[in-house]
Amino acid sequence: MRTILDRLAILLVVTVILAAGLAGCEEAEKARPVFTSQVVLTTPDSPRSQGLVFAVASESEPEDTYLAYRPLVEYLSARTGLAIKLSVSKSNAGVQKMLKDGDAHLARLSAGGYVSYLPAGELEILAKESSAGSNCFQAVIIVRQDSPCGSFEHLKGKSFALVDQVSISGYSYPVWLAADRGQSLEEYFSELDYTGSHSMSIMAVYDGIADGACVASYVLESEIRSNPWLSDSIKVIARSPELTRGPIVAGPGLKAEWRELIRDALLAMGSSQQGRMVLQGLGLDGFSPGREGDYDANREFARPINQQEGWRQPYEN
Amino acid sequence: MKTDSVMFKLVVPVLAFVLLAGLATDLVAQRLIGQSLDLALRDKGSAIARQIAVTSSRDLLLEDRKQLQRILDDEKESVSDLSYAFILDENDNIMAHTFETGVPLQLLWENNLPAAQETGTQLLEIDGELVYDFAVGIDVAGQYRIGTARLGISSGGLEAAQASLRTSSALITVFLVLAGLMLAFLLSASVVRPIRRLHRVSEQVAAGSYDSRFEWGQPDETGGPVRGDEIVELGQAFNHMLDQLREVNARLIRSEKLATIGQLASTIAHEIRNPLGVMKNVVYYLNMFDLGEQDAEIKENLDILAGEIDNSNKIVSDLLDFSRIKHPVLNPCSLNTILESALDRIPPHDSISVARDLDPDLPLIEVDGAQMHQVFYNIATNAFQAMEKGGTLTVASRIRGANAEISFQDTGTGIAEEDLARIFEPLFSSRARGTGLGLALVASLVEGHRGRIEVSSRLGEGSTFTVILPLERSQA
Repeated sequence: MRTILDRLAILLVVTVILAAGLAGCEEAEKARPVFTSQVVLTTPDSPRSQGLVFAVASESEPEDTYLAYRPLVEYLSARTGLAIKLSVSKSNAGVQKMLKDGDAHLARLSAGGYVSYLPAGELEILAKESSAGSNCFQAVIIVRQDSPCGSFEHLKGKSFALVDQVSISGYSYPVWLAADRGQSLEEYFSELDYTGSHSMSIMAVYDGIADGACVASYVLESEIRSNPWLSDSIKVIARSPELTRGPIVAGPGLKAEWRELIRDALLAMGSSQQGRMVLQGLGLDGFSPGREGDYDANREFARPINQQEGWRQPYEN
Repeated sequence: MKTDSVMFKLVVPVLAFVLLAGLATDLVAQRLIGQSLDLALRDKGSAIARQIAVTSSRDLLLEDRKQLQRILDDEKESVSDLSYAFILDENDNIMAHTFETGVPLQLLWENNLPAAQETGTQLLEIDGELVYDFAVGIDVAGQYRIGTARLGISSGGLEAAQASLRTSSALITVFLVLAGLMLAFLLSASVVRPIRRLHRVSEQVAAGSYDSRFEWGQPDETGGPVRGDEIVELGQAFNHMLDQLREVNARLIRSEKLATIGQLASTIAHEIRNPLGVMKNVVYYLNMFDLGEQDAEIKENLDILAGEIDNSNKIVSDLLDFSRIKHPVLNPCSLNTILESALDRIPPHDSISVARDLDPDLPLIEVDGAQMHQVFYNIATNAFQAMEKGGTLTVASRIRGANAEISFQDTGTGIAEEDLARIFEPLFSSRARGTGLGLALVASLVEGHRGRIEVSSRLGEGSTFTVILPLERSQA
């Protein structure tokens, strides 16, 4: 009997060792203690957030805009030695508000966004965009290729897509056209749709959501380059006089010496390979010097809006 | 239960094995399932964090804090064990969070995600509660890190599941041990009970009760021999051994009796035969005288006396024959002829008829003719004596298998069941004038021919004696 008990004892020990070994073969992860006595609130931002903010309005999807402008911001940071952060806003109105509130130090504004900013003269133009050797573009009225509409008059009583209220090509030009015919947009069109971007307005026409739209010519050309089938689906039935493309502006809070650094970096982009690659990503040839008077034509189209009774800047709403 | 008993030796190892197996299985299962639950929790947390990262990418770019807060609130509402969640921008500014007051400062320092790393997991202890912290980078097109989504999943659910698992596992182990204990007892009982029964039968045999038998198991449906496991086979072998022991014992008793009878016979032959001879001569002498008026009566008495003297002489001769049984001298003989000769020797009886059913093709068999004659004569004589009031003796011969069978079937008084087993013992007789030597002599002679005798009898209906002799010698 002693033999059996001995064997049982051995079996017990072996089993316990095996089980314990198997159970403990992987060391348990040790938890790190976290004390909750000191907390951080959401606002204001932590002190680690430092540097300049470059604001840009989303053209279509915010991610696409970020991907397009991030190389520009990195380029500027590298060339100037300034820490610059990219911030994408939903609209040009949002960019205007950021500049106004000091949350953005420099920005890319659309042609309309620049001329509608108040007070005028608070922003300094650092450079103008240049594409295909020109700083100009047109606002174009587009319809579907199979649409019976051949002129702006034919769109009366139809549905129409607009970008936003600070866009000259996406809003001011059709307002101007309607006003020239003695009517407001609401009176001229049966239905208005604010898409938020030129690309979305183009797609609204293509998808038949809107009978017509007004967009910037360079955006339409860019979309057709990316999607060649659009050229067979979209036709232009009206064009505005030439307008000046949007500028890169400095907000009131940006130091003078930093403005010069950034301006120089922008104007010199075409002369370096890295700069040209960044410009190519933005669909531009380069940047050229700009001044307030370059945007007089733009301002002519924006005026009727500004003069409307009760009109306020969008960011003031 | 004794420690050296079979039951102890069976129960303890089985119980120990079940206990150890249950313990080992319990530990391993807990470990494996615990790891699975842990992995599932990590996968869940990581998946939720990724989902937050994907859905918040656009709003983080637009710095839409309200929308980011809505995303986190929705997650907090839908995920029951979500301890917290917060979103940081690329400069680690807190864009949104689910804490009531604010994000613990120390939490910002933990689980920091390097730029090249997409996800990170760390186990934290927050206010005494274990929390799995997950960090997932929020990227744009996989190129630019614009922020980090962080969330904590409480391990409370995991611990509750593991506790439930431990309870279930312990209950299963207890059940297994109880079941094992019951099984071990049943198993050991099924082995020990027949062994104990066998032990009791052995003790009875040792006490001289050779009629004891080991009975175990149930006969099969056809009423055939019991079939069963090794225990039943052991019992059957034991019973077979008992049968042989009983037979050997009977032979031994008979041998002892034969030896005694042999000694007695030689003494009696010397001491009785001589006086019997003198008495026989005296009777013969007295028969020669004319005894007048009483002569007839006296001569009748003298004849009785002479008959008793002959009878006594026969007893003495039987005793001498019995004690002097010789080895058979084998010669090819016709059993039918020997049978007829034996029957002819018996004086006919008016009320007894003899029927014959003899196989004419019965081959010659190597037997001692004189001894076999004595066998048939003794059996037939017994049959006649059993039919004092008349009847029929049917004698038959036949071949069955490898044997020749000679049967004697009478319609006499039959043999009581309790006497059947003893009729071949020397000096046993159920008749008042029997010597108890006739059938004992028959048995000895048949055994000397490597044969056997089978007897069947029913009291009041008659008996059948069958002499079975092997044909083997005749074929050799």
